[in-house]
Amino acid sequence: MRLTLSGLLLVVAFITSTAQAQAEAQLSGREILDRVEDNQRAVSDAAFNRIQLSSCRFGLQNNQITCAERPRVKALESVSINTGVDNRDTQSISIVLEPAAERGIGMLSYAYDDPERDNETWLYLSALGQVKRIASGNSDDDSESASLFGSEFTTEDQDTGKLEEYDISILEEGTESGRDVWIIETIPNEDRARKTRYARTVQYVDKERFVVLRADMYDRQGREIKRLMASRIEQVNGVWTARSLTMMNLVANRLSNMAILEINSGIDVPENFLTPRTLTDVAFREAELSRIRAQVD
Amino acid sequence: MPVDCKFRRHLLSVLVCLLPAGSPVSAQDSDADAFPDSVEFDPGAFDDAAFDDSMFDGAGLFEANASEPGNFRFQLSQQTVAHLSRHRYSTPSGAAGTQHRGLENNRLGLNIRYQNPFAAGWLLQGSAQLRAYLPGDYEHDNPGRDGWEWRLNELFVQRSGAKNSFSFGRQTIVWGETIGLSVLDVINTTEYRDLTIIDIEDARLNQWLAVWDHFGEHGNWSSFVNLYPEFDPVPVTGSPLFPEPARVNGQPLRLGSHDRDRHLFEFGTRWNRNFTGSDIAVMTARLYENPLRYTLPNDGSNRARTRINDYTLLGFSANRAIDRLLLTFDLAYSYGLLTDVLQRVSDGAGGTLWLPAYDKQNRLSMAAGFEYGISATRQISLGIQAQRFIGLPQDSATTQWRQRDADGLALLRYSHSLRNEELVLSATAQAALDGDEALLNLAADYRLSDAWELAGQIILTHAAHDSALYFLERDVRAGLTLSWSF
Repeated sequence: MRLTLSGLLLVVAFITSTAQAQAEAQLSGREILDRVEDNQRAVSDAAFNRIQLSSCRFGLQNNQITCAERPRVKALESVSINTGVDNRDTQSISIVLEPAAERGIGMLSYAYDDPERDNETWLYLSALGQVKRIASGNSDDDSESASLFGSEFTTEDQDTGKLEEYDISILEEGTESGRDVWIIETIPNEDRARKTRYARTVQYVDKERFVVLRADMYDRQGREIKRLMASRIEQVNGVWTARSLTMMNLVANRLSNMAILEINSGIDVPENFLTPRTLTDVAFREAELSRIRAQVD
Repeated sequence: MPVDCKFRRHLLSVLVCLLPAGSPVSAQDSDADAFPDSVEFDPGAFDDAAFDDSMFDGAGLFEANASEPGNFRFQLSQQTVAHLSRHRYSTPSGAAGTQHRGLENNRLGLNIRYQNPFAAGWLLQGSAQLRAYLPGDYEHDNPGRDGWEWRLNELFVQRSGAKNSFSFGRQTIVWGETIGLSVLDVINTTEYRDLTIIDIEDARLNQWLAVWDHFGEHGNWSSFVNLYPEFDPVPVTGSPLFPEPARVNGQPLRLGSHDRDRHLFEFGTRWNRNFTGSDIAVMTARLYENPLRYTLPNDGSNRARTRINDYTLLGFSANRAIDRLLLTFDLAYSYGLLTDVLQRVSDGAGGTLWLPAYDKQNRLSMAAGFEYGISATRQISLGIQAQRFIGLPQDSATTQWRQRDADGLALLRYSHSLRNEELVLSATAQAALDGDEALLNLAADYRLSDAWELAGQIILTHAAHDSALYFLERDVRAGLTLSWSF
């Protein structure tokens, strides 16, 4: 039998994908979410992003979820790096560019993989004239961790790590947005439950791309309180990532869309840029941001 | 005769103002028709509904042809505030006074802000304000104003490198952690003329400072020198917080500024360390007390004598984030402050009499509080401040005259953002711990667009008849401010 080169490649690809599919079919829920987070970390490492954050009250019209008011739109620039043991901690800073009245407001976050270390957030408000640390944990159904610039995204929604604080199980396999997905349930353990608003989360993970396409968050009474929808899944430096994330607050009927308009990774980020100093020292911040922008523009 | 407004560092603001949406001056308004108000949310139909994020396309905030943000920002505002409650009140001397209804503030303001990182590592920043006092404003007939006033708030140049930052010019230094009540936030002077500005964040005045910050891996060391210390501005006679001066030698007592007869300077340093979930700082400074101290004239005139006083401040501050709670703590030890006492002096006829005077004493002050994010749209903070002079004279005359050696304040702030941040309701309540003075400010800020904002406030005050603020007893004020930012 004569095998052409293209035929050989096809066979190899088939064998490889079949083996990969078999291996992935045997992944546990924890392993799947580890890979999801590895993807997230890969995209956030040494990254400079430009983000449009839109928020509005929403409703249904013609069986379509739509804003019921003019969305409030903010433009952000965000810089992040991975650090710590095995680069599993993430430090990120976001600065508001628009609207003009909020220009310069910044938020700095440290997300630790270690469950023993609470994540940290700082915010600079020019009216106060100083950097404020923000308490990020919460422990009852009526509270949320710090909001990201008044949106429905909270610092908790942005976090990675601490998976060992959850019981993770695959509920079933199904489809979401036309893609094959694992439907994975995460339930926080006793320690984590004291710090999260979500008593249960159901995530729909793309089986091929290891991207969360949808996440349903439930409170302690079993009510679905928030839903995350991901779209515009694209490969960035070989890693699949969602460039549009929409968080729907089903209690407040409000949603926020985070459109990542530009993702630039492999950026040379100065070591001391992701510190509280950057929030308040405008000369330093703008000098470093200019260097970072020059790497991508 | 100290002119001391104890609860001027704070305010209450809660707003109740429901206005029609509109006033389209924002780029975000152009597509308002695309988002009708008529849609409803049916949870039962939610799972079957489609979602298309393309509705958020087209803002064009990062497009190459989008205009670069300018260095200038302007805010034009018109403020109108009226005193609503006509009533009588008692003065500490037992006399009666009448508070009339009427306009108090009627002014047009322009705020200018400039921020220009003009070269790598360099920043030039300035801000100024211009006020035109219209008929009815308590400043309109002030002979020193000619109907208008301007002030340079900020003007500094900053040079920042990898580890160090230097800035020189008119700027702010904020020490301490407890919002609005920090006993360490004493570097900058403050001015309170009326009840529309009571938050220290708004009342703070900048000073000419040279500041050096050295940044380390887990904190920073910040030092400053002030070669031209200023003092809190002289109270404006006829303003809501200084309605009528005392009379001396048959005339109104005149309060003047400090006449500089020698070179003054201040300096201080603060070391800050960040830990996971916590920050601590220690600081020390040689400062001048911000309020001028006045004593009665002894030359037969009506001009009060002024006195300034330098003292040493030692401070410690800390915060701790515990789950959803942020705890704050400030501690200050002030060495050599002036405080009110009675001194026995000769009456010239072989006898003695007691006269008000100042004595240098040390004071221990603390402030503690918490901040709590109830939700993404609701915030609350509470702080308590208490201070006590150590080593006051124990003579019965001083003790009886001062009434108390220690005093304290409580400050509660609550804010609730509604309608996609269009409406922010807030309440600020401040009270002396002994209940002698209290203030409640209810405020509503309604953002008509990114450029236009309408703010309303209702201010209620209480003051005991023997309080320094007795004239604020049972006062009710209401105001509106319309502002346009561009």
